Amino acid sequence: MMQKAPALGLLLLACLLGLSRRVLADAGNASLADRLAVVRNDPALSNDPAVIEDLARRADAAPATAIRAEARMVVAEAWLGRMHRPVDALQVLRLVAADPASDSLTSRLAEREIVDTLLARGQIRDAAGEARAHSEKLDPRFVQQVRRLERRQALGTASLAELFLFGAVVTFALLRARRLRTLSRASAALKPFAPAVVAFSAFVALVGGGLAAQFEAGTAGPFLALGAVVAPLILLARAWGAVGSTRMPARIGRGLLCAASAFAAAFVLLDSYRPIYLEGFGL
Amino acid sequence: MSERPSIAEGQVRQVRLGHGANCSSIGSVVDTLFATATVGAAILAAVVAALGSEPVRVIRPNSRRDDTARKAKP
Repeated sequence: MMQKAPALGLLLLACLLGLSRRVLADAGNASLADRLAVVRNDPALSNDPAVIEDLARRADAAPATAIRAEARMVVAEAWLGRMHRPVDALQVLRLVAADPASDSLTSRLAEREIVDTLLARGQIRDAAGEARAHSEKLDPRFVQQVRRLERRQALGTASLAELFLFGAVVTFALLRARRLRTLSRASAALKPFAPAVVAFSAFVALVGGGLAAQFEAGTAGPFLALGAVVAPLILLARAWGAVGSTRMPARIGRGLLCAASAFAAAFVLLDSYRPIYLEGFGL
Repeated sequence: MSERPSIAEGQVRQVRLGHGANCSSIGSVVDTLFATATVGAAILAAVVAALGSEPVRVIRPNSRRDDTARKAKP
């Protein structure tokens, strides 16, 4: 009997501790819910950085409940928009998205906000990684759109690299021709060819631009820019052809590189000027 | 300017989704036209880059005639 008494005492103490913890948690949750309601209903409070900071601290101290997730979402939205603290907001959003206590809708909203914030900050690769990792919480069409943006960014980088390579190789070829005193071949090749190239560029710019301008949401800009870019590109290609090697592999290589440069230039133009056109091509 | 007549829900037969889906046919023509212009420019650039420049040899007709006359002499 004497040995059972301490055991019973310990059991009673444990029960009391557990009960008190639950009571404290409930009290904390109720306190957070009250505070959240006050902040939400008062625009002055929800615009006060100190109040939002305090709400974030209260949420961190509160037990894992749906109320805590909601409070964190209020904090994240304030930091993202009004208070311009996207990095801190991202941390809070990640907490909400990973919180098993937050309800499905809040969790999905947090995930969507994470991807949107990364996109707005230009971190397209990170956004695509996030969308891939948590695709079950996102709309499939949105995931597809983010992947398309990632693909477009990769293509843009590749296009710029290709154009740089083209410029470097043509410059090297022309400098070499100057050193070998064969540069006159380039000018001799360009003279009869230039009018045709100018006519082609003008056709692209004016006819294409004219048709595009008739379209309600269209603009002649991309065609005018393409026409302006195409002329020097083709003339450089001709000059390179005139001073370059006449062996068949060299000719094929030059042709492929110049064709790729035309595509790369068109892609860079559309990407920087009118990306909606790229959607029409599935890019 | 006349105002556009409002369209009732019952008058809408079909709404399509996607880039330029509900626009007139010129919308898709513009995309195709841009692609065609780009492909044309790429082909032209490839062809002219592949062309070589061959040295030009000028043959004087007089010298040829002189050679023939010289050969004809006994």
